Amino acid sequence: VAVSNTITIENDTTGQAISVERVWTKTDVLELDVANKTVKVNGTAVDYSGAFPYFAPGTHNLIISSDFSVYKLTVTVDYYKRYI
Amino acid sequence: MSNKRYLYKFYRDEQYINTAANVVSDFGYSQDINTAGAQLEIILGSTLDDTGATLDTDELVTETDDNIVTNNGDNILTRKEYFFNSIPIGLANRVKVWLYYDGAVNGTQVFDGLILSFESDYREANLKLSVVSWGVQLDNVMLGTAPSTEVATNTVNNSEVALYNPIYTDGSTIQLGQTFQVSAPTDVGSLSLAMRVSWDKVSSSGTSVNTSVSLIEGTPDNPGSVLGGAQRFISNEEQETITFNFATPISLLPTTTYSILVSNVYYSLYNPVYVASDSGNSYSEWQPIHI
Repeated sequence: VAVSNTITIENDTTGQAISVERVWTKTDVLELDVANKTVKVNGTAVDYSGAFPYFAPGTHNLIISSDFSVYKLTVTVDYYKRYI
Repeated sequence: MSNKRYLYKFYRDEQYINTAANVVSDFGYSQDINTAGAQLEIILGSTLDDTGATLDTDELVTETDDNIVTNNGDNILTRKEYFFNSIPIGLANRVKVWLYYDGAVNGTQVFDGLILSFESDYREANLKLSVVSWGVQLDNVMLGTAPSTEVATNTVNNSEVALYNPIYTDGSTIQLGQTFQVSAPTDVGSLSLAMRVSWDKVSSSGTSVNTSVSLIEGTPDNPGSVLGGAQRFISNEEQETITFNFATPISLLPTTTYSILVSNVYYSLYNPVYVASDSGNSYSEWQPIHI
């Protein structure tokens, strides 16, 4: 029986957290685009719950959690520098 | 409330499509008195041409699939149709609007409805969607003035089955199960059972017994996925019809066997819940299931 699991990405300063629940495979690529409000898995838009985490200037923690018993992931964060 | 933000999520046939990133209208809806639902207007900052519609055509061909062409060598079109597969607009597509603010950083849903119409304004370069709330749909009864529809029912009530836990010496529990089918595709919003609780035994504690129902695919002996569930606190000592409301309607299909499972709290040994049954039918007599 395929079991769905949830991956959550959170800004621990604001509490904003976005979660994606699905049956994951080990080659899946989850892409979260906060600017364009898209969540994709392997290039296909998927439903999500919660809020897109926004980060104010300063130091913050990006928390990634899941209900997997064991998992291994590679995380890449891209951002655009903006100047006032 | 400060920093209010809205997200507009679009679905087709319960499948998520996308989140609109270019909503230019303010959120707000109106509802006329004595009407079933509210109407929301959403303005997207793009036209139909911007939304990436795909073109599908049929061309005039011979029996061997060779194109019949004009004197200039152009193919002859017999059908030309645009499809909007990857964009949110479409009649009866579902729209859920979520509000985010300081008191709900992870959002609270403020609207849920279906696209009733859309129109493109090329002068203003925008697309206006009219979305009506679920209450407008006749099969989603928001106003409880009419009797509800029975999807599947047990017409015989000549017995009762007790549910009390823990029943086994090893501390394991039982639940009750009953199969059923529906005759047509149906969204089920609630489940009603005739039941009561007994306070006759010693050491009764509390004034109600927390009882749960769940609706699953398959039979109790061979269960599939859980489709939904609900809880009620049972306190009536005379048999009454208790309605369990599911948070969201559960879609059921004909020819598929589903089951209702009833369970209660661990220490209901002294305060059993009795569920009305038909003693003459398998599972209609609520077979106990050891779990």
